[in-house]
Amino acid sequence: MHGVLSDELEELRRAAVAAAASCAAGTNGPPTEPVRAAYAALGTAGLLTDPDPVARLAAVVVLEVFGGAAAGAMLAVDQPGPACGALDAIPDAGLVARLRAAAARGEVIGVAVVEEPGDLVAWVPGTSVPAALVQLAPGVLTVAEAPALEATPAPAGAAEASGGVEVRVAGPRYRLEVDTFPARSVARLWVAALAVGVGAAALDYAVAYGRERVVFGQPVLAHQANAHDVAAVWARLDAARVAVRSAVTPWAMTQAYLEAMPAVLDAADWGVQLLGGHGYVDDHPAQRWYREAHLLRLLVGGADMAVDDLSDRVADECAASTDELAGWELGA
Amino acid sequence: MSAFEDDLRAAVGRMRDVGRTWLRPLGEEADRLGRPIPPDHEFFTMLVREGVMRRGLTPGGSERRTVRNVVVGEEGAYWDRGALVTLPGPGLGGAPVRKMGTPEQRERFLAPFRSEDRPRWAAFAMTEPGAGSDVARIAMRADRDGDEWVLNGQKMYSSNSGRADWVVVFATVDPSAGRNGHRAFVVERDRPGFVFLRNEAKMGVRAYETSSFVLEDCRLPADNLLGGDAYYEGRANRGFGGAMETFNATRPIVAVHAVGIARSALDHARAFVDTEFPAHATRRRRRALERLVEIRRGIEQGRRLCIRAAELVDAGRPNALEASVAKLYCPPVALAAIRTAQDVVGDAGVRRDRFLEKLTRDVKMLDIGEGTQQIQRRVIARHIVGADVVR
Ligand SMILES: Cc1cc2nc3c(=O)[nH]c(=O)nc-3n(C[C@H](O)[C@H](O)[C@H](O)COP(=O)(O)OP(=O)(O)OC[C@H]3O[C@@H](n4cnc5c(N)ncnc54)[C@H](O)[C@@H]3O)c2cc1C
Repeated sequence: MHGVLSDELEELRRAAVAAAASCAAGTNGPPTEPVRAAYAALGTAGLLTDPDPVARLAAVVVLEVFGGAAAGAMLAVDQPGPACGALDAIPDAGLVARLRAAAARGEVIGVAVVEEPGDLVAWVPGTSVPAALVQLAPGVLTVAEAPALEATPAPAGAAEASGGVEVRVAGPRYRLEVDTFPARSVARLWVAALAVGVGAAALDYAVAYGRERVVFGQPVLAHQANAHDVAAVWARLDAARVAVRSAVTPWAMTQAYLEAMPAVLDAADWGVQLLGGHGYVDDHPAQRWYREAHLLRLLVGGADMAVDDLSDRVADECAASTDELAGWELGA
Repeated sequence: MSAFEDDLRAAVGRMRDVGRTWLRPLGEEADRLGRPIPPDHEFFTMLVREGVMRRGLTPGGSERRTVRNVVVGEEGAYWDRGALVTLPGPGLGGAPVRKMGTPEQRERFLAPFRSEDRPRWAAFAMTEPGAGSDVARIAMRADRDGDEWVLNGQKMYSSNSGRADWVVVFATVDPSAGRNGHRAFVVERDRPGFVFLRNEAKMGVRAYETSSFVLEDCRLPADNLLGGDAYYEGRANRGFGGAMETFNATRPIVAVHAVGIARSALDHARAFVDTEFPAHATRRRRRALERLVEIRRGIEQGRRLCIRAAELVDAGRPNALEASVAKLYCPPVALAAIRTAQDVVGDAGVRRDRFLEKLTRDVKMLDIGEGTQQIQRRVIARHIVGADVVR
């Protein structure tokens, strides 16, 4: 069932909510380390690349929850999901095992960067990186491990909780010729799952606020104009959640990302707007979700690269005259 | 070109110089540090010392004042919307004094801004913890005691009030009377009973402070009531009306700040296209250029709407509808422009670029201050549907 959770997954989701709440601090989000620990304890780290759709759905569900609670910190947690999409292509079994172990600890092991001239430089959220997978051009992936990486602190923009480092690959590296579309698609799924969590948290909070705060004689959300607008934004976010939860193929993952990001921006925008001036200040988390939504949409090359990827596939389809749309999935 | 246009062009040029040298760097620094530009910063003393304000950074002449403020305001917001708001002057506090004040009050409160001994600011305080959009709910009490007024209550989100010489405070003589009880007072900051609470931690426009304060048995001479008793006689809602008229005059100016912000996003993307997408990188370049066209359309349209609303103010004609149209249109256009610019800049936007990210935070304020987006819709709806149906 698309996006509808089994009892087990619902239980996992509740456990994730409790785990995330245990590390929450203030309206600007918890710091990275407690989040990493709480997240790793749930056992879904690294599962985004698991071939089993149920395992992947479990990862998505937990990412949604942690996105809402701690997207800033999550930028430095379990980013391996994406990079691991290309692990199977690495010829060194020992390296693969080390990377997978780091992934299971919820560590960031890589980030994909495109069209970066000169030395290999990547911006990675977090404070250190055991390994980096750097994508230079479509189809070319570079893998390097910690000793070959120089990490220097970088301004983290809106991701205050996670900090960030700039990574230069200075030593030995693997250079792989692989189809990087699947790896990028998993990365997009990872971002979209976090983002859907951000949007949902923003809307939930704003709805609770809007039920209480009185303007012109009635609660903010008793004004139908607001209630209807919020309903429309909520419906779009719900649609995005279904897309994210049911994405199995790289194509569907990238589609889900494109579905999710604008919906999340709208949700985060309303998350601030419904609070009025109170949404603009640190007293409430609305401003954090707003900043996070804007940051998340820029990761993995943004919407443009996603559209480029999909148009390349459509171009292939056109050339081959295949009928992809005839296929349908039941989802996990 | 008319003399007015010459004059205006010169003022825009002065704002551009100040913007490039001061507003942009100071605004970015304030954002990074998360604190406002200190009122004793050499920038402000320099402005006053060198007579920049007097020569008309925001031109002082009375001819088509609102149009001038719109055009020059766009240029200022282009450089930094937060830093722009810190420019010395009566700011939002000036409008109600000009609209509601007696000639003596205008002289008493506004004349000091013409002297050049030190930078001066004023502020405007309507919003309270329990009353923002719905200003009829304000609870700040004003009680008459002989020759004095005694004010009690809390204000919040009052911009520049941490550095202001005086603040226009809206209060009520009778909370049960709603808007009919409203009165506007000038409260000097050094009056006993004026208790500063805190600067709010804002997500954007951090160059100026937006603060809360409390008035505790704050005593004012009777002639700090704007317009004096006579102003309210026979027309009890004139206090409220004065506030609304103030908004009609300031909304086009605030709306145009969004246009300035959109323009700076456009320029940022433009420079990027020029350096990073050489002519042969056709796919991304073409797409980027089409987007720049789209951003420009929004900018030019937004500017038109702001100028229209401002022309009406200057002509002494009603402009509530047009002011709300401008205020509703511009901020979302600016946010879309920033997002589009981020798409153009792409991946580099996350790693290297704080500028556009800052703009996404700065611009959101414009959906909230001077009447939220919903309030603009409400004003427009009441005009086109009728206030008897839309309440
Ligand atoms: C940076 C900044 C600077 C500011 N500077 C000043 C200043 O200098 N002086 C000053 O007095 N104030 C200032 N404000 C306050 C600002 O004017 C208020 O925040 C604004 O009017 C909204 O009020 P509120 O925050 O109480 O939200 P509320 O009025 O509580 O609104 C909550 C939500 O309800 C919506 N809403 C309200 N009424 C209706 C309706 N009838 N129908 C549908 N929806 C409705 C609002 O749009 C909003 O989404 C500033 C605010 C900010 C963020």
